[in-house]
Amino acid sequence: MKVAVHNIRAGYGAGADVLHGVSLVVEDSSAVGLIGANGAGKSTLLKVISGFLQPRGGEVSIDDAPVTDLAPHRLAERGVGYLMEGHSVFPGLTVEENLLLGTWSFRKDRSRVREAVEQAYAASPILAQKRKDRAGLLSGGQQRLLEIERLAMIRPSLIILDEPSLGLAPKLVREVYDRIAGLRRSGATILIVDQSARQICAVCDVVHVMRLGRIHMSGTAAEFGRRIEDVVREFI
Amino acid sequence: MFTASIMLQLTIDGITRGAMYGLMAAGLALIFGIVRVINMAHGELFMLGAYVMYFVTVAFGLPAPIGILVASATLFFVGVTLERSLIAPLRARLGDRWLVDGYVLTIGIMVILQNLALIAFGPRERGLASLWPGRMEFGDLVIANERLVILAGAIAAMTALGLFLGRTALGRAIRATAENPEAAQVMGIDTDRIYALTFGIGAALAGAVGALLLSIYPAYPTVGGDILLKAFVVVILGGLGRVGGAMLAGPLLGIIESYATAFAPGGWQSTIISALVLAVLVVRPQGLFSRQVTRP
Amino acid sequence: MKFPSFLRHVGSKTELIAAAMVLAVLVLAPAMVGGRYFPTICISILFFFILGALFDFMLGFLRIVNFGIAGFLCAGAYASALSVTLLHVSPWVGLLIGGVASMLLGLITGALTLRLRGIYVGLATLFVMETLRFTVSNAREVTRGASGLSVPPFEPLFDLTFARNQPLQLYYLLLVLVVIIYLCLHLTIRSRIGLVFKAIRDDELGTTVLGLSVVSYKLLNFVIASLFIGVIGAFYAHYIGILVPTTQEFGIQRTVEILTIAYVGGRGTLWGSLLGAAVLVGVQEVFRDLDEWRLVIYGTVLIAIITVFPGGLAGGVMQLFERLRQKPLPNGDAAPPSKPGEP
Repeated sequence: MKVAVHNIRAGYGAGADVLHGVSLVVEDSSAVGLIGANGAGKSTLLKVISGFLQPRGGEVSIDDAPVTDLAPHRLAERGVGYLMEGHSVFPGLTVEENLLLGTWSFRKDRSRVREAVEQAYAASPILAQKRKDRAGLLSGGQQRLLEIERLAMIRPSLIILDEPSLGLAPKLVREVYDRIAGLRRSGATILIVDQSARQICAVCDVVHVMRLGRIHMSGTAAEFGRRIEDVVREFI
Repeated sequence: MFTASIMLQLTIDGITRGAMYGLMAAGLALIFGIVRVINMAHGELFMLGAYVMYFVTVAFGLPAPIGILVASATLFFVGVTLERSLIAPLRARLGDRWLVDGYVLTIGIMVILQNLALIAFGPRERGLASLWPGRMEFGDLVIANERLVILAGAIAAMTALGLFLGRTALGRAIRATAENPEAAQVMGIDTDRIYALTFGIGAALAGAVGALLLSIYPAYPTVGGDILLKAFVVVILGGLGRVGGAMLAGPLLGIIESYATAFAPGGWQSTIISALVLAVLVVRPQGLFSRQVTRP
Repeated sequence: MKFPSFLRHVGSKTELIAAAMVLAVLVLAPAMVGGRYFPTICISILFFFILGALFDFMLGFLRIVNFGIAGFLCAGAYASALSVTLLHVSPWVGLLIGGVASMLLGLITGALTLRLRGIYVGLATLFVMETLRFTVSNAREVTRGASGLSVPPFEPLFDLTFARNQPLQLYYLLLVLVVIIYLCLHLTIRSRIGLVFKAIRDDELGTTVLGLSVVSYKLLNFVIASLFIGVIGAFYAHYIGILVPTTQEFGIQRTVEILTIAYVGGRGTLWGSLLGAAVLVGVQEVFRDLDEWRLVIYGTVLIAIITVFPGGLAGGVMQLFERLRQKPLPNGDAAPPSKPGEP
């Protein structure tokens, strides 16, 4: 699935623009990373793409068809999975119920639902073990894994991830990124925002650096990999 | 005074009436938990249910179960309409500042519904002699058949509600929306529809209780006021937003009320209960049955 | 025209002129129109104005929804009435007793509930009001309950009489009380205390981080309001002559009336309630025949204010004012950018 944004201007409430004309293309089956300091507008851009924030100017298109007025609840049926910033498990519901919610867009197809849940447990045995526990009682890393498995259930063609490694210990960060790489191998297009420039460069083909609401610099991960220390020091 | 049969009688009376309070409060708790409105118009929804029941059973002479169904269905549509036309736009406009204004909005709805009913139907009480005549006797214990029917109805409704919320996909979706509406949207859930549906269900519950209790609380325009207060008492005891808590706290209130009326002088049971509610609000605002340890 | 410097603390030049004009109208109009009907209406307007302003003092500046405000009115009214009938104090002293009684109620209620989240405060005050109402209703031997408690009128003071058939005198008495109370509220808002109120309203967590005890300030606000509500309640008791603990007088219905006036008038302004009271009491008189429709109108207006005109009448007035003068708004917002051609 190809995603493109063109000249996006956006802001919150009555406030000033946070994004000043951002344009970006994520080619089908590629993995694109967005890095930048806090406040650069990375999360804002993701919110525009996912439909949570209406842009004040510009267009969003998926597979070359305009979707600027997309409602967030239509994402799943289109095969777009969105890992939100912060915690997004449903803490009062059990692990199994959380996973079942991931199947909402195809809930009528019972065999597919059962299959998807079994696959999730196969991919993550710890979740299988805790299936009857309330999701809120899981550790931060387990919750993140639950969120990713839940997202994977729709077999997404596009996965948008907002700071997947936030708040996780390095070992867990690797586990999360391994899972993301696995999803990539299954054919999904990936768009990631993260603080961890190293991981982004490891998983992505193309990296953009955002600064003060604009794309400041772009290049292949290989190029960035060489200059990563400089990039991090200067921009993050 | 304290004979076993009297205690049993009081307890059963209390549980029966309390089951109704619980159902009423469950609707209020549901609405608060998911739509995040303190529905001050909930008593008026009860009132409308009572009127519908009156017209269906007394004016048109149809059997009671039909009356209850019609009342529930009518109030479901009323609820959905109110949510769509007034509450949703307000929520969209105000974001997370909207709790206080939502409360006041429902106050406006309460005033309008109450007075429209007064204009349309007049202040006359319209009641039903009895839902189900006759009674059963077990030694010293006397239970009106009607109370058993009401109790059975309440238990059936509560079970249905519990199963719906706990076991079905839609029920899961509703619970998810309560906890994290944005994450729910990402799953593909249309949260606007969920809010409307939930408000409709809450209203339908209030209407069903109004219908079921017609022989005890006749239909008149201001009947909602007292009922609302009782529903609030239950919701506070059970924990705001907790449907399960409301279903447990209802019978509890019913029993307290039963005993207080029997043993406290004059009209002091209202004062006692009000004071109890205040105590709970101050000491344990998350409700008596909540698993939460910290105060909200 | 030079104003004395201390008045600068009260308000801007525009505000002072406006206040003076309003005060002039309030003082002169009832005397000029005369009769008994008009002053009685004016008493209603003042009564609802000050109660609306007191409600706004809590809601508009600290987001405290005192849904039990009628309960504090009740406390003031009955405390004064009972002190006069049972303890034989003068009604003038009763005004003070009413204020203190209500203030104590406010202190206890506030201390117990103000640390809770907003809606819980609203519910708690609702139940304080209902508990008080039920208690008054049940303590029949003392309060006469639903039969009604007879309350003696104000005694003559300085050769002025305040009998119940002299609404003009009673109006001026109430006006004096209202002006004093309003001035106290206004000065509090303008003071450093008021600044902390606004800080709490805008960012409660941030204010806590600065080391200020949010609960103490909320309690202060609540207690000040309770004191004045009690005084007005005491006035009401001696004015109306008979007290009954019904919902219309001291329950949800009364609270809803007051709340509607504060909302219609405009939250966060204090003076908006004067407009709200004038409009709603006016509507009541005009639509006297259509009694039930009057309340439907109240409810509709309330909904309209919440959904479409959140600024209320005061908001409308300020917008009009800005458009006419193209100058800074009274609360100090920046002037709109000047048009080309202007200096």
